[in-house]
Amino acid sequence: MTSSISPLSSLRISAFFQRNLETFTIYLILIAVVSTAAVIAPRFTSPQNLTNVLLQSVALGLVAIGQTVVIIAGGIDISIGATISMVAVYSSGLMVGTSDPRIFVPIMLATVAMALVVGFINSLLVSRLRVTAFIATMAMGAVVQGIVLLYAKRPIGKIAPQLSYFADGMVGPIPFAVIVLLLAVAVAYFMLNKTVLGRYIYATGGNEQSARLSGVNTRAILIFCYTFSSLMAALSAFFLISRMGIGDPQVGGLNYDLFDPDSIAAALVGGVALSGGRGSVFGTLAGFLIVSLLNNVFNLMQVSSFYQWLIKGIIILGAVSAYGMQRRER
Amino acid sequence: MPGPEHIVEMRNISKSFGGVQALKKVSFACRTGEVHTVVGQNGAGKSTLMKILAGDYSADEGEIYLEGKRVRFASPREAQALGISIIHQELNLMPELSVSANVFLGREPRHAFGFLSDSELSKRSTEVLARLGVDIDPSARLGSLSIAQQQMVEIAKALAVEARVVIMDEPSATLGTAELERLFQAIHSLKRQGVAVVYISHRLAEVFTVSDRVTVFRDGEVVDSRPVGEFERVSLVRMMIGSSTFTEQFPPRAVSPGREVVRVENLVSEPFLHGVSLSVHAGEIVGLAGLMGSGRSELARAIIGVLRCSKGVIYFNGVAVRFKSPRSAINKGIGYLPESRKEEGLVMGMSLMHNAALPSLRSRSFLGFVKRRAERITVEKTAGALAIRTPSLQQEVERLSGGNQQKVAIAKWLICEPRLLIFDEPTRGVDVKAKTEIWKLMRTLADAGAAVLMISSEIPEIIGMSDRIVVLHKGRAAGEIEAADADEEAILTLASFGESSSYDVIN
Repeated sequence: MTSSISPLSSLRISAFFQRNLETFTIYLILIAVVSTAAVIAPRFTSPQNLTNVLLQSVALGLVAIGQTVVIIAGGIDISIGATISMVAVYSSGLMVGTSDPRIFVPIMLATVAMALVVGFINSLLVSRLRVTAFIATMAMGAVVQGIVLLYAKRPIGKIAPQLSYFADGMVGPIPFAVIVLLLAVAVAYFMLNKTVLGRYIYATGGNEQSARLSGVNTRAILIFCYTFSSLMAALSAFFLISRMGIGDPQVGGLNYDLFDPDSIAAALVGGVALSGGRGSVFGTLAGFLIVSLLNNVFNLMQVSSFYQWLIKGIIILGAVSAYGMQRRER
Repeated sequence: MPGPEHIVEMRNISKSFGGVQALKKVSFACRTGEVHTVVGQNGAGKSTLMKILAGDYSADEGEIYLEGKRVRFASPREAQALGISIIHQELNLMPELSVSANVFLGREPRHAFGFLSDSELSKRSTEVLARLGVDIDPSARLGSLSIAQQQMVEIAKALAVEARVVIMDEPSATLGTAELERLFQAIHSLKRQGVAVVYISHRLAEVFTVSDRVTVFRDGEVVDSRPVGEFERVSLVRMMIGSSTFTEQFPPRAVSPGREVVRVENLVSEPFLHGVSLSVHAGEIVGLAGLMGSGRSELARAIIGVLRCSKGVIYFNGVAVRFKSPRSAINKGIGYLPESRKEEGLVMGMSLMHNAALPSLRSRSFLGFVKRRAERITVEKTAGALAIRTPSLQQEVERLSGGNQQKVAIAKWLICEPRLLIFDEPTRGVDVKAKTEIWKLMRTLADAGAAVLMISSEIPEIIGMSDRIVVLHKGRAAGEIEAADADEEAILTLASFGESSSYDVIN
């Protein structure tokens, strides 16, 4: 506290810091990762690479936002990867290169609807049948992945040419997909912080019984959160197929990009509490940027994938135990 | 030296919590094969003493002797090793394990190499259950048993550790008459095996059935301790109450009640409510008294639509209603302050402001967006009116004191301006100052025309606050007492026996 600031305003500032301590911590870590990357990998700071990093973070970023909303509501969603694969394979496989919007738009809408059904079933399992979120969404993920592999065992189809704008389009110097991602962050921020719905999501995750006795329709809130997460998975799938030009039945998981663990990691590194009711989408923004950055730097430096796993794991453990200690002190 | 005939003796035990003296130089002793009942009102200090005996708390001063030898224990585990077992009201059992596994939990019989011996386990648990004289299959899954049977398992557990003193904390609260009979039988077989049983109960009727000796607690002191034969019901009740000094803290009653706001007729919700009827008028505080398990909170939950009812009618403002969820009850103008603010009243990790605004959030929103200025102004005003002490409205409620937390839980409903307010234990775990403030507030609300239904285990609070008192007994309204006629004897008698006959005899 300095004497130039009035006691009241300094109190407010320190209270503001206190409340947002976790978010500050995570941005400090983000800055540290960026600086380290800039020093050890000179090519990192080239505009081309920076654009690339942002573009690489889109697919994970979108689902991490969905995951954040679900975790804040006290749940978890590990059917995301399978949902991505489903939307990717079905939309690409059904539209096979058509350029007629009368065909590919309904196909896209239909696959989005399929994703929403997955989210809806997740939410019913959790809110009606009282199945633990982890088990319910994991099993749903397995069911969906099975359906996907029945439809296609290897990459199939070809996307409508107009769709490639999602991944390749530029608005001035900024990729269109990055703008979509930032919009999604903004929408989620307003939803969580400015609306009645958002307040209800925090209350449901913080204490479901209290929320219900306070008049919150917690069941409806859970339905919303899980379907929102599936919607983000569908959006992420559209980005991925427009980037790859083909629908891969394993794009959401199995072999390479592991969207389920990575989206959870992004949210947790961003300060979202797995116990629910706590966290912010800005924290998650930093969280998924860190995870994507690490992947980028590892590739630039050609670090073997074994070390990638090791370092990623250590960073996640570090961040999560730092939060644990901060929270215990209070 | 304490006499050797006492298996356990506690001498001059004192204990205080944050400046409040819970026990003042209390002495207590128990003989082998004796059932020693401890009675007293809530807060009289009886559970504190028992928790010290069981090793849950440590005494500030005083000594404990076991068979004449001075003992000290720092944990329930150490007390148990010395032969003192406590059976809590909430049973500490594993529902997914078998009966025998529960009986020997933590002390499983083993083979030479440390593997569990199932045959030995079932042999020994059968033996223990037989000693207790109960007919329970040792291989049954615990969760499949009734509450009373589970209690027998808990007692068997105490027998299996060769406990010499078994403390039972209100074991009868959740039991029916037939089950109670079995509990008494089990207590008798404990007696026969030379175990001293310390029995805590609020139900006076069973005190006379089961006890050999009775000790009466009041305000942290032992008022009297004698063989049960030397007590009479009336004198026992009087001793528990003592001279009441509470009245002057309560705000004065004012206006006469207005029209009826809520009326409940013959409400049935198995297994809690068996046909409750009562009504609350505008401007009136109705006190709902009754023992633990008498269905007080369940009645509140039935009214607001949390608990489903199979029979009966609820009239709200003259119209028959059956709320499907708390949401619809709130919309109609009912506020419910739950018994446990941590589990049901508040979202502990959320800020004071967000908690207080939660039930009324929709009325302060536009197109789904929270009107934050209106929200802040409303909460600020209410927090001020309730004198909530907090560094800021952004403070998380888990960092507030108990009294201030309770005020936040109340503020939620004040903001809704309800027609009917149900307060379940409004001053539980709250300091004296906050208590007085909450009482004053309740009266102000009633004077402003709200109907107030107050559930409380504190009989002085019931008497001091209520215009009318309804006493519940085993899911039924056992009787109704006008404020002018209310005294603790009348309420306690109704709550314990379900009828006022013994009360009439007194007069």
